[in-house]
Amino acid sequence: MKKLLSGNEAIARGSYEAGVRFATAYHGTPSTEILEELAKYDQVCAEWSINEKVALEKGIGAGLGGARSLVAMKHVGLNVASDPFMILAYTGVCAGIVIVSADDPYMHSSQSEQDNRNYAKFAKAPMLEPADSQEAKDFTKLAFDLSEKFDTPVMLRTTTRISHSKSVVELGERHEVIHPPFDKDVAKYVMIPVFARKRRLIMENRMQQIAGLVETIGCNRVEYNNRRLGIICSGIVYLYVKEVVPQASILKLGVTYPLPQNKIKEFCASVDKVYVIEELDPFLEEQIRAMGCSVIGKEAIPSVGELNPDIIADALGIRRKAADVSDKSHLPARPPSFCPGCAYRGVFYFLKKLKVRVMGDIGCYTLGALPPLEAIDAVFCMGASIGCALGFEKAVSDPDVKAVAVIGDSTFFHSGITALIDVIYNKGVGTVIVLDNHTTAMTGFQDHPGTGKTLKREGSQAVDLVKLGEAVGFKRVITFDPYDMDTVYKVLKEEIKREEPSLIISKRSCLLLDKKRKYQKRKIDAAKCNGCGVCLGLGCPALGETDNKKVKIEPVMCNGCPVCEYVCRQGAIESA
Amino acid sequence: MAVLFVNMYAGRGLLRVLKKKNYKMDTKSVSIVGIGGQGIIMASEIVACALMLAGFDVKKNEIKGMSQMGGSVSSCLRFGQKVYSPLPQNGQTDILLSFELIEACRSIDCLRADAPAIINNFKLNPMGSSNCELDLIGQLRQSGRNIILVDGIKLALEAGNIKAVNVALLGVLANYLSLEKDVWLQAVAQLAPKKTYKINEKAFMLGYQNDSCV
Ligand code: SF4
Ligand code: SF4
Repeated sequence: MKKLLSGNEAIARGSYEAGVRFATAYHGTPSTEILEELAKYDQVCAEWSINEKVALEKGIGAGLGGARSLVAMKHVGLNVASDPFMILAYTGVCAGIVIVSADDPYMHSSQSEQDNRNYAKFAKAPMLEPADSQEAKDFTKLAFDLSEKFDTPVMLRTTTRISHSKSVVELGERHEVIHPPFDKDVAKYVMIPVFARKRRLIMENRMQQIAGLVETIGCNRVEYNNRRLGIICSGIVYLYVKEVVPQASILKLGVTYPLPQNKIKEFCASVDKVYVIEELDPFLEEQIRAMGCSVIGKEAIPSVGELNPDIIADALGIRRKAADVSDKSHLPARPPSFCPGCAYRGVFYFLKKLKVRVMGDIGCYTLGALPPLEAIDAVFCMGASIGCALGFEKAVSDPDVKAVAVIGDSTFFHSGITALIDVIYNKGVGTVIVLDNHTTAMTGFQDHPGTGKTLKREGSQAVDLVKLGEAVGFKRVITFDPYDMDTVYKVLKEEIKREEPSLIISKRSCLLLDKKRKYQKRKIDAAKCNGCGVCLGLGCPALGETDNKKVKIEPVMCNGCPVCEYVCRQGAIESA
Repeated sequence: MAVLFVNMYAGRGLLRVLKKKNYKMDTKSVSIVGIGGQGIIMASEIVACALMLAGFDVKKNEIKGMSQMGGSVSSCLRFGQKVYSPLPQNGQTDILLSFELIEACRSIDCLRADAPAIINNFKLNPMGSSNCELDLIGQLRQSGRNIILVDGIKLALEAGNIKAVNVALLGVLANYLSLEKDVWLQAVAQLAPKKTYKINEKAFMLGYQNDSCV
């Protein structure tokens, strides 16, 4: 049977067909749908993990228990999981383990565009890169076979375009793979120096064996055409190349680590001129140059952002005719902003008013950094807000210059808890605000340890944030409804001033999830509105200027919240 | 399949984009653009499904915004005997379907010189910004593309639910991709929620028979 699948759906399908019994991830664009898809199969135990490190550790454990395991994450997730990943390459596996790294060139929805192919080389683990959904499925199965054959974790690397593009896939059957739990073998599974040194040699040996295999493996294939132009590429770039220069000779690499030396040298010798076309880092290029081949690479191909057929056509100097592109800068943009009625809006409005430094985190609320709210001052990585605020507090001696940490519930569970304990341990006196909207809104409403629901929608024990805060030593744990504007302002003002650590939990569901939400839309009394524009500073998408410099509320967009009515000093905003 | 394709733009004789009869099935590209919440992804799923049912190789790619409402959304479909890249080259798209005027202006250059742009005659000002006073339709016409304005909201309301705008617009699009009507309805039945099938079917047919191009 044929089906149109996204790359992510195809990886899920491939895992299912490969007999995977355990799969886990921490959701992150562009990887999220892999687990959502796998959760639909009864034969697969599929779970959201609290973060990527725990996810991989569970995958390792499941592998030791005899289950083929898939662990998926976005590129920056592998930073979090890199600790177990590096060691897993030493120990090897019992049942197969495949780690999916979904990279995001151009940072469609990420804070960096790091090229995770470097991790395969860094950890000394083989890596496969599919180009479309059929390959995503096939390579997933191949990855499990390689993992077990060579006793190694295997990395499957995609990019946003592969994860989210859909193409036709031929579905297959599931093959059960049953391994017994691992045999006790301390020299293999206990990584202390004396054993690790031996494993280190085994790793080298293993990579040499794999380097032999990749010379003949079917997914590294040469397509000889016109011999004047040769192109070495992998992943989505192969498809762009086929589109732009179908007449070129191509070496398409399915395994991009380790590389097939002989095959590459032979290819380079058989064509007049060789381009290495790859997105992001000169990962292939540097290795190919080190083999003594002379190639054209990053001097012609950008190493920043995504590639596309146009960029490749330009680089090869074969653009038919530049398309006429007229200037579009006069068109109004649609920048992302908090949804109308989002519970975060009021909190950020007050934080700005209180003139504190706000250390933000990763989630919908990161939008609080954008105009007109501009309430967030710094955002780094998942969970960084709390540590950053604590460090800032230690460095600044002026008691009037304060920083608060603002972190969402899912991010807090991911990696905020350890820093929260550090605040108490190191006698911090700052304020930590958890914006608890009972979901992971930005990536599409996934559950997490605070929601009381698992990926398979089974009930589970929800972690109680108040008790957690008290247990680690916060004497002041305050919960409010962010729609209760007077309380929000009062609490924030007092707690930020106080020389004592406090944990504030702002509790209200993301309104896109809250199906039972009752609300009253607001409207403007044009007679009272004096056009001061204070409410426009909230950045609510429903609020806009009229032609005569007054404000209007777009009734279809307004989701009725107390925020604009609260900030209007003229009393011009009322229930509609 | 080749025969199917010859007819591709012939829908009710409106256009002859393919000047020379091109029997070789090149890859064709359709772009669908609009605003989050308008049902663009669902619409492109239906088109992809219909093309697949008709026996084409299909690739589809979209840039979805984040979860928040109101951002620009675009989806691109490519089909043919064998499709490689999910993305077309700039200026090489064969048909544009836009759910909104500002987004249509933003995307119009993706089209080939005289290709058709089916545009929902509806403007939604970007959230929080003042009224966009530009003469959008004038700009679109100036682009030299074949602009087909459709009152999708009217069609959807006539079908019984404003949410059916996307399927009504697909009905219009169907005239430019000569697949059997039944293939489209089969795709709608497969992908749209069961409860809404009757309304969607009606919306599709209203779009398909729509002569009231503005
Ligand atoms: S998706 Fe939910 S959390 Fe995100 S901006 Fe919208 S209402 Fe707020
Ligand atoms: S217009 Fe006012 S009441 Fe309506 S969603 Fe926006 S801030 Fe809330």
